[in-house]
Amino acid sequence: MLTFQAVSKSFGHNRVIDNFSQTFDSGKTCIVGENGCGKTTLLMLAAGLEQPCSGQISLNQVSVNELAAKPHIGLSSDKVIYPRFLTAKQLIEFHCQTYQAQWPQDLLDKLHFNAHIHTKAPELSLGNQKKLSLILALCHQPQCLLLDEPSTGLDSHSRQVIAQLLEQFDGCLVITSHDRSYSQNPNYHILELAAKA
Amino acid sequence: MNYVALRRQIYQHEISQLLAAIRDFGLFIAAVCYQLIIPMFLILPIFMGGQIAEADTSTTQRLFHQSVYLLLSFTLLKIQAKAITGGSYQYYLTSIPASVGQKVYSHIKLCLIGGNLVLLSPLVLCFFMPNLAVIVSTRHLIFFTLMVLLISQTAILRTNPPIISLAITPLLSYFAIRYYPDLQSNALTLAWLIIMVIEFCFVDKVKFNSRGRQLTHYNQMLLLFMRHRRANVVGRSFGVVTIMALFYYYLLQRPDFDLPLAHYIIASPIAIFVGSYQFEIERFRNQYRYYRSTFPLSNQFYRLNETLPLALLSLLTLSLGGYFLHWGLELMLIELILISATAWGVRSWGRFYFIANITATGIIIALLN
Repeated sequence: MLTFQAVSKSFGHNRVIDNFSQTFDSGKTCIVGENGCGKTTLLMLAAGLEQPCSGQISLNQVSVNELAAKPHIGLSSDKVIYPRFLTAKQLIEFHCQTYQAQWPQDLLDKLHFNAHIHTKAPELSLGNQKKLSLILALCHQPQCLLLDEPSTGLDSHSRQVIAQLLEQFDGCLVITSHDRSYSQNPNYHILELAAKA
Repeated sequence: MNYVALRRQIYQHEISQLLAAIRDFGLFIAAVCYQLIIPMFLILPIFMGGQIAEADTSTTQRLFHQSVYLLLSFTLLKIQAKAITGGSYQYYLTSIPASVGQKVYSHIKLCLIGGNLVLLSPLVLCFFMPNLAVIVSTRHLIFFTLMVLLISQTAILRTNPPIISLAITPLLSYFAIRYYPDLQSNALTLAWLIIMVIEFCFVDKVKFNSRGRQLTHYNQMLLLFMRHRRANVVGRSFGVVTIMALFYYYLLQRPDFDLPLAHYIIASPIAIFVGSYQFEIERFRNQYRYYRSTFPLSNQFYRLNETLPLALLSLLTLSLGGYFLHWGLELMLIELILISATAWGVRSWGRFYFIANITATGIIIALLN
């Protein structure tokens, strides 16, 4: 259970999130809203990568900033830049080693990613960068999955594979998307963030 | 604006970017050594060019001068390679319908601007040979000029470093001279030139393992980051060669220089090189701060592992200093203190890190006296 309690976040004078409270239970949530309304910031806060100016965020009563919460969170966001000098294989290896996870061969096969495994992260196409980011988010089987625009840049086959994987996911899933297959999907609870005045 | 002017503008922009990228180290050079750097870059190519051209210079001395000169030429142009070729804008530049003549002219012009006196001095010496007899007696200079031109093009147009030409050949030549003292400079330089031509043609055919090693530890990632940053590796190589040339130039000015004291003085810039690697750690932390934060690893783990690469480099420096410069335990300890002071300066004072090094050097010299 992912809980936001009176969370506010500003960047300089720009208040992006203002006194936000919400509980995300096991289930699927799609956050929608205009560009710049704070969807990605919300995911970054939920993953503990940004610190709130005020309020608290916890996963199963453990603050997301605690080390103990990290293994239970999986994040895919374009904001997370992977080391440019490492190949996809090296990134996955390091991820698996750090999270004590199995090599995600099944995921690599399903997403047809094997041919790109030896390519350096910035040299991957936009779609393959997204696939890599999704593989890293999923491969340690987190309880809470945070995906920022998971279908952007993917081909139709990969979109279907990801949609199926997310359908089967039984933890807490929070995604941001403008893709109708998520934003108009009856299996997803839709949370609309208000545009800033 | 025509094509040549565009290439010149790209060159200037890229150089300003490069200077910004290596300003951390460059600030030290500018602040501490500027009085020596400018005359060194004016005098050293002319002095070394003269020594190389001189028919009476011994083969060993010529070998030394040629090696340093080629290394200096290579690093000077390698650091500017992207600016000279306009590599960042290669698709755009290829799309412009410029003639081959314009492209070649731009390339030569930018090479000469980038190479400056290092390229010009052997060329000038070659062009001012008075007669055929002089040309024949100093033909090694013509071979050497070709080597300088070739190494500059290798630096600009090739990706892999010419290790055979810059390291292996001089080393083998040194041993060859020791065992065959009658070896002629002309033959040696010509052989070196031939090796260089062959390496120029084939150096990029060598493919390093692009698949990469297995990566399971965080400090492996840090070491790869340090190695990957081109501006860092080339800039530092250029810095090392510059400081060594500066030291050499200083010794030329002061033949009565006290050598043990010279060791103490050289310990400070070496510590700057090693200790300023802390900039890379800081850069990694800033650049990949989100990525780092995704892992279930404690601050203590990060602190420890981010100290290890620098510790490793320090150990390597001390070992090399002990082996090649015959550093004693006292000098090793001083070097360690200076490296630590530099790294601490980077973390605390950023670009003004060298103040910590200079203060520590001053205190040590005062204590030793």
